[in-house]
Amino acid sequence: MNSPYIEVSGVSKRFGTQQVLDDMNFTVRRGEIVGLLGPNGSGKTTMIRLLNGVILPDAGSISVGGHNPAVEGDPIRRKSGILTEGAGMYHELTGLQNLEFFAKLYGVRDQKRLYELLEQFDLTAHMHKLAGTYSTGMKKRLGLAKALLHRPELLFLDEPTNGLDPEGIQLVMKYIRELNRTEGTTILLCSHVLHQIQEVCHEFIFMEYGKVIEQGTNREIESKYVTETVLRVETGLQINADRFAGVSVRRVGDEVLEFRLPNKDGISPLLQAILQKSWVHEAVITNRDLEALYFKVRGEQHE
Amino acid sequence: MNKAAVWAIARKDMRSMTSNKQVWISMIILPLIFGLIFPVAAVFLGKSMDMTTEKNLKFYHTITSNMPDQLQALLNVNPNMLPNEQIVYFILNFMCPSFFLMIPMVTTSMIAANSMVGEKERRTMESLLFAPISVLDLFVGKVLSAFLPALAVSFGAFFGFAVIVDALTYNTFHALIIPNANWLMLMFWVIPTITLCVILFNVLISARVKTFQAAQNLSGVVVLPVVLLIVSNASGLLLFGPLPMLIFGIVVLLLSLFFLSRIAKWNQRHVLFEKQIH
Repeated sequence: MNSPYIEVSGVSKRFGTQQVLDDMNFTVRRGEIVGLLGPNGSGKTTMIRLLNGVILPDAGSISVGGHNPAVEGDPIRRKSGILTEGAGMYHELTGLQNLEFFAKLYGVRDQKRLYELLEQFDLTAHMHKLAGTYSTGMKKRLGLAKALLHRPELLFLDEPTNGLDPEGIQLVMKYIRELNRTEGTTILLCSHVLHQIQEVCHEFIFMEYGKVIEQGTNREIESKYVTETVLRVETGLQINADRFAGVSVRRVGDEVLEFRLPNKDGISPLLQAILQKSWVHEAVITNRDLEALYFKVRGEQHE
Repeated sequence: MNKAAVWAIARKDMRSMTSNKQVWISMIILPLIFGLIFPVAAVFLGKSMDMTTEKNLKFYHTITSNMPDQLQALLNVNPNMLPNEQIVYFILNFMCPSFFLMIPMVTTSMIAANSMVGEKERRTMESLLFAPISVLDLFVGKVLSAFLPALAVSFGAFFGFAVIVDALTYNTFHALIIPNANWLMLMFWVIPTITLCVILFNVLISARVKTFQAAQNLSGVVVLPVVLLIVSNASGLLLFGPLPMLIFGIVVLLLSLFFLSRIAKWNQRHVLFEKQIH
């Protein structure tokens, strides 16, 4: 279950004078959902293309399920599905015709599978409409249905939530989680909208300027980079100094205080001390969500 | 070769073509004008020309005296024919074939030129290259999607031409003058092979350029002059009869197959991807 499924070692790629990837190294275990995160232009899409063997690296080695995509791209493409950023559907064909076309390319003969996916992504009522008339969210969902036609064991999702409304994002995220849980699909998910993918990914790869700057689980990255705990508390407590119960504090809102503790162990005693003086409605650690970790990692790289 | 994928690509492109009114109307106009309207007009004009007047006779002699000896000989192939009949016979059997050669190549050149670069402009090329199909499958599918409509239009126009022309000239010649061996060899051997070759070149150009406009320009500059050269010399080819036409077709077909095998080598997936996507 946890054997390395994707191994990328020392991979570089240049387009003309632009160095897009520079000595990329990372691994992905079978059955995991891994978030490939980085700002626009950091090389995420290029990495996905290299993993599929549609472009070749200038240096380094790649293995996907035991195959080298540069020379054995077809077996990889047969067992993987991909949702590209533009979804890549034919606007002059209907939703169903698009799926029928790609089903033939992927060797899917079971027509029921098409209807099943249309139903799953809430497109049954629109399947006879031209894809060109679909909203961005519908196109994205159709693209996702296309990527899943042949029940791939590996799924590449490039910005899967771009252009989706909150309901659409929730639908897609729920489906990704379910797919991984029920079929054990390995999923590599590219995004720059961090809070959306925090909950679904087992592990994260942070990229910048074509390099991996960090890889690990949320907890691993947290323990490596977070040296203090920032606790935001909604409370009626009034403070007159920059410390309370021995903890550094500052007011950040009408009824919101931000405490800085050396570690999480100090949270319970602090809350008890506050409760003796006033009410508490909410307490949240703000510096360990994905976004905070991401900026922390990037910040340290720049130092 | 993945036949299902090849057919899927060809069918998808043909469906897109037929769903676009402007495309299929433009595909029908040329065969209608050159394959039906022009021959019918020529038959009526030829039959109704009064060859007893000095003016018309002078016109007839001016045309025929400027023809190469072989064509002049052809006009006298049947000395029993009246000059009117000779004109009609000549136009139908030695001028119209050039038009029929032109029809499939001109109507499908633009479709073929759009084939690869059109996928890029619609941002669907990526989806095709990520699919588990070979680049050769993709090219064959694209070639078929232009080749089959080209043949359908040509054969349809030829059928209409043969029926109408025979109906209009039967009372003159008392025989069905179309088809004959030359026509059959032209329609079912020379036209398919040469159309295939032209489409291959256009698809190749389409895979190498960045925009449809560039493909169109390049096709117009490189392919069209060659097409016109062949078309303008078609009458000459017909003079030699069916056997040289058979050999000509074989040479063109071998050339096409050679190019098809090279195309896949020259356009490996990563080359195509970097050319079309980046």
